[in-house]
Amino acid sequence: MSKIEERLERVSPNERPVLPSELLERKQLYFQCGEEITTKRDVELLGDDCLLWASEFPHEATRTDMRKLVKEHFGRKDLSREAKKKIIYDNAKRFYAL
Amino acid sequence: MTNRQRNPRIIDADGHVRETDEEIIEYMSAAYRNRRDAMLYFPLTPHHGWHRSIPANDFRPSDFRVPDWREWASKLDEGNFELTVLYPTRFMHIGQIGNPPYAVELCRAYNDYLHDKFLSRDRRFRGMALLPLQDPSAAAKELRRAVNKCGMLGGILPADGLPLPLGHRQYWPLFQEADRLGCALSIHSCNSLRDNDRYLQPNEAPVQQHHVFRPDEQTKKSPARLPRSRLRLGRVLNEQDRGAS
Repeated sequence: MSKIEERLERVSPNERPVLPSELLERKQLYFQCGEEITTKRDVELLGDDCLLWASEFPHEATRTDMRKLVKEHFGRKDLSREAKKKIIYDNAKRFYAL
Repeated sequence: MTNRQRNPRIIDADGHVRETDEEIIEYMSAAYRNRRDAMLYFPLTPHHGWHRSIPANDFRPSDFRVPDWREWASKLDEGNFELTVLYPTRFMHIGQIGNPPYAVELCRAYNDYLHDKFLSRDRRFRGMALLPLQDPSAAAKELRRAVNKCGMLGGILPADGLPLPLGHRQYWPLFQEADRLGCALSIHSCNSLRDNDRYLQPNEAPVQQHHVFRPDEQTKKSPARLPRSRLRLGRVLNEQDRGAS
């Protein structure tokens, strides 16, 4: 995203499309990566309003115990309680307009 | 501990159905159903290609599940999910269909299948519609049908296969429809079909599968101009740190 913005900033303001960072600010752009080991970094770079949690069931053979998946998410020490709640509920509710 | 802490609210933003050609053809028009044997001789879509959930090519039947709605519902119970939003598996390759009327037919059939086999069976199942961007006005029409008639939450943009980048003006009718509907649009990764046999090598596929998104092309234009639209990128940024193993 930083590369995109770097390139787009060279375009004249009259012709330049909306930057990804503006889309994030407007809460129009989301990423599903809330269950990954890199999520802490993602929160630092993108904020915690744009990340979504997913089970990906039945795609991953090692991720079929839903209780365990949820426990793992809420047991994470690298994310704040607020971030965890946003990732596993609030953001999806907003994205899907539920 | 409060009740909310004991029973947190959970939305699964990305679950999957494992649709089969034998099921989908039942929702296609008579012209296709009447030629069932011929149609099913080859896969209805370019095939997905590899068993991602089988570690190191060590096949164990219990690892690969094709859940019906009852099995999926038991998983919702198990995790105490409020709901799951369902995406396809094989039909994620819809972008690789070259024939527009055929793509339109497949998308309609898949969306009808999803509604009949899952969404109408349990209120906790919600779905995202498959869209035939090969014909953008048909895609807009199908999105409208899927959202208004089938209760779906939005549409899926193919991550691979289309001849033009997703931000191209040709696809704007679809984005404008999504904005009118106020619904979500999602890009979910799928593996490229180039050298598909190579993905049978251990550990190669999980790295390759997430490198489909091309941000310079796809974030350029119209989704950003549409105030009510929201765009989700499936598993784009997160696998970079793992590297090839």
